[in-house]
Amino acid sequence: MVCGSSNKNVDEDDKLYTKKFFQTTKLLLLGTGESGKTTIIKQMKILHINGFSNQERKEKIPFIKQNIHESIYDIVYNMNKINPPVEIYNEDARESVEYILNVGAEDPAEYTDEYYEHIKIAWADKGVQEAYERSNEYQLIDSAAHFLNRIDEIRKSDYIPSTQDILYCRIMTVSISKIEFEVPVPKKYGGGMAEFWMYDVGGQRGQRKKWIQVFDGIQAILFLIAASDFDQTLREDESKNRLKEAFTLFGDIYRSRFVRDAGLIVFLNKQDLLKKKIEQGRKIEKYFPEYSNYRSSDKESNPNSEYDRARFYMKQKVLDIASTPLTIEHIGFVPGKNLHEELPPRDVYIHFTIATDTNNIKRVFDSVHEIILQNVIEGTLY
Amino acid sequence: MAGYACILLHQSAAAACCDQNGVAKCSNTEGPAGWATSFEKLLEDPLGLHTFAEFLKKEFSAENIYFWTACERYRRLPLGNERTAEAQRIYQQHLSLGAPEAVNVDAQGRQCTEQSLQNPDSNLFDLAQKQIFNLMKFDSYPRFLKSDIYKQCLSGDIEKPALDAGLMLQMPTTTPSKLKKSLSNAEDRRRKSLLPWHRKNRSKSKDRGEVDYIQRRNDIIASNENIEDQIGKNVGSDMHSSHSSLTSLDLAITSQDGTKPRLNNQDELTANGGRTSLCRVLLSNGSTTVVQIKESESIQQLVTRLLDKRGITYSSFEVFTNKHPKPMDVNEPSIKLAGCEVTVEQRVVFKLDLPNRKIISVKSKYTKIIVDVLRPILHKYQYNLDQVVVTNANVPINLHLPVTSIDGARLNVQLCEDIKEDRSNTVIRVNNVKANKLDEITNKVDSGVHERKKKVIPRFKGNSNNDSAEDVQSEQSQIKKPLIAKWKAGANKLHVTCSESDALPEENLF
Repeated sequence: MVCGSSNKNVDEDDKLYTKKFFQTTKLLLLGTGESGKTTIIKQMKILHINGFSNQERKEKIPFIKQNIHESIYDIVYNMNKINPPVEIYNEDARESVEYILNVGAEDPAEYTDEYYEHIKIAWADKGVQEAYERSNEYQLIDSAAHFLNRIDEIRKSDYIPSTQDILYCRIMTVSISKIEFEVPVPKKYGGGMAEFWMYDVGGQRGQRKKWIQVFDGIQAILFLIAASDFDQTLREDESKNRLKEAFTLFGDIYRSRFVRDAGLIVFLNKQDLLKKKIEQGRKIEKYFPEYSNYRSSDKESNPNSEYDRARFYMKQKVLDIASTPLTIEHIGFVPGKNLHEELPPRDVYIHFTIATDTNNIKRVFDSVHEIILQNVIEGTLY
Repeated sequence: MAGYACILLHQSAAAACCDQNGVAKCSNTEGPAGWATSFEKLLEDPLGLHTFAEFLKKEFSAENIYFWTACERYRRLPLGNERTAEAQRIYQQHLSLGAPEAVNVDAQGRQCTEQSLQNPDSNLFDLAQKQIFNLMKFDSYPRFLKSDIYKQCLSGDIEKPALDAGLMLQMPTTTPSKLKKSLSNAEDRRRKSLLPWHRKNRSKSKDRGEVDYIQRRNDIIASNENIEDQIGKNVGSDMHSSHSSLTSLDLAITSQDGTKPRLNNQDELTANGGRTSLCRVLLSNGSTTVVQIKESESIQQLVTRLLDKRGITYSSFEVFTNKHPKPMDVNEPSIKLAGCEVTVEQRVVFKLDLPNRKIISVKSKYTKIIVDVLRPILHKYQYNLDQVVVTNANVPINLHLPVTSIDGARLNVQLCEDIKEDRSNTVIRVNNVKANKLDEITNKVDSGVHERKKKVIPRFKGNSNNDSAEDVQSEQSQIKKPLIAKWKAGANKLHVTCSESDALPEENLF
């Protein structure tokens, strides 16, 4: 942010800030917890800023190690808590599992060779793997397998995190932060550079009341839904299905009067994980009974692909929410409108995304940029 | 009465401490450079904590640091209703569904707290607090180190954040030195910070709640602390105590081996962290003892703990050391006594109802005889000791007893001729009858008025240049009529500004 360091500059800075504020396209990332908002921010840094320097990569090492410990601890801790419990398969792994439990939920003060060996032994155990496969029954970060499979790399003293490692590294967001970047404008829209500010927020329930702080002047909301969440419960409330929460939240945002003028772009994220889960035979109808009767009519959908059926079902859910009639009553007073008058439905753009895949996000962002540019020209976003 | 005495002392002692806690003594803290070493280090430094909070406010995540510090304070609360209530408050404020300052804990963290909310133990919030600690450590702290705020601090261009009662790890009164270290004119700032309308960033009601409960906390901790349990025990192994260990190292002198303190030989001692600081205390009865200093204690608490252990009751005392020219402010943290020879002098305090309806408070050395204390005082008010009768609860007292026999008493001084004129039994307490009426009138704000009374006393101190230098006396304005009006005005004001609080911060009254 532009902040005056001395009093006499404050006015000028304010003016500059205001000017910039109106020239800049402001995007807001919203979505429930662990839907991938911060990952999108990281992708913007990779795509439109300077990526990650070696220094920045090294700074992530403690967080990656913390992710490793959190992952393995949560898995072995929950082995006998889930119903039915999972037994350790190989007796040799018992010692390692107990070692990890002894370290406790806090990451160890020192990551020793002994520690890494125990983690490798435990992670290789069939019982532990089974508990990992059932991680939807407890809370586990999505990047668990990615890091646990890379222990031999990560434990090296000269380890420098790869871009993938950085994208997978999970740090829960508790604040509102902003990233600024410039994107070249395609020639057909006049060329030059377009400035973007993208806001990142925390997604858990308690965090959402902060969102309103950044609603002002937002051109487009990127709403992330973790499509693979259909069989998981909320970290903050284990009685609530994550995907259902995401749809409910999307409905709230769709109807919110505070972001009425912002474009809505939905990312059905974590398609890679969704595909994997469907291929494993996870059943969406267990959590969304109406799915049993769903047949995709989308022409892009391959009728033989269960994964396609799943993702288009979710797309349809979003479209259903976005086509529910909006009345003034939902929104509050709108100048020049009758109180019971129906408002035209808002345009909602939907993308299937993999936030950890830079190429995928590049394509999606380009198309988002184009949508914004078109809307700017048509004047609907302002 | 002890509290009463400390207020009498307060002004001169506070001034002395300001002198001693000038800039020169701030050099012990590592300052902003140390904040980058670890997140724990940052939170240990009050200035660091406040600066970090300022940063979080800009990022809209200050609820985390408020929650974390509230948990720190909660952990120090003694068992009892107070703790249960505070647990509820924190839960409602930060953890409940729809909490106004919800923090991001997982379901386990919340359930864990909910389950034992009715019977809260001191580690009720540990799991939730740890989660929030990690969130800040992993998400906010790295950004803080890259922020402009931090860079400005490093370059010495620190904009000192206003002190925030919600960010105190301890009650403000027990850690004034902490404040002074980090902030110039800390005394003023402290007062300001307690006034809700001086603070911009947070809602008034919330502020008032904080101030209110901190105030209440003081009383409780001062009175309820389990002394036997704690004496000689080194509280200092867990996370929170390490904070206060850094708060005031000015005089923290510890024995290197920690086992055989030799206070007289300073060369053998090093100031290394203050965990096991000691001081030698001389009591008025001539006994001497080495006392271990606990970081969380004020001087008052330390002395009270010692006296209680010995079964001694001083209604009032003053604390001198071989290192400070003036009496210590007993509200200062006891760490100030580290390495000092400390003399605790008993003081006797009593009140006098004069025939002219004035009430004066008298503080005296405990070695004196009543008559020697009274004579110069009465003389000052143009009474002669031979022409008056001094009674305690209607019984004439023996003026030749030691002054300790009337410690805490309220004496009535009457002219002999008044008694002769009116021989009825009830005559003696004319003043009292009126006082009772007054009590009825101001019944609702009784406690507030007492607070006020105490506070009024030092104001008159300067006027009482009496003959006996050791005796401090003060008078309350006793001309009844205007007083009632004044008190009522005060009462109304109290009612308006602090209707929710049951203990009023003194500052609100002025």
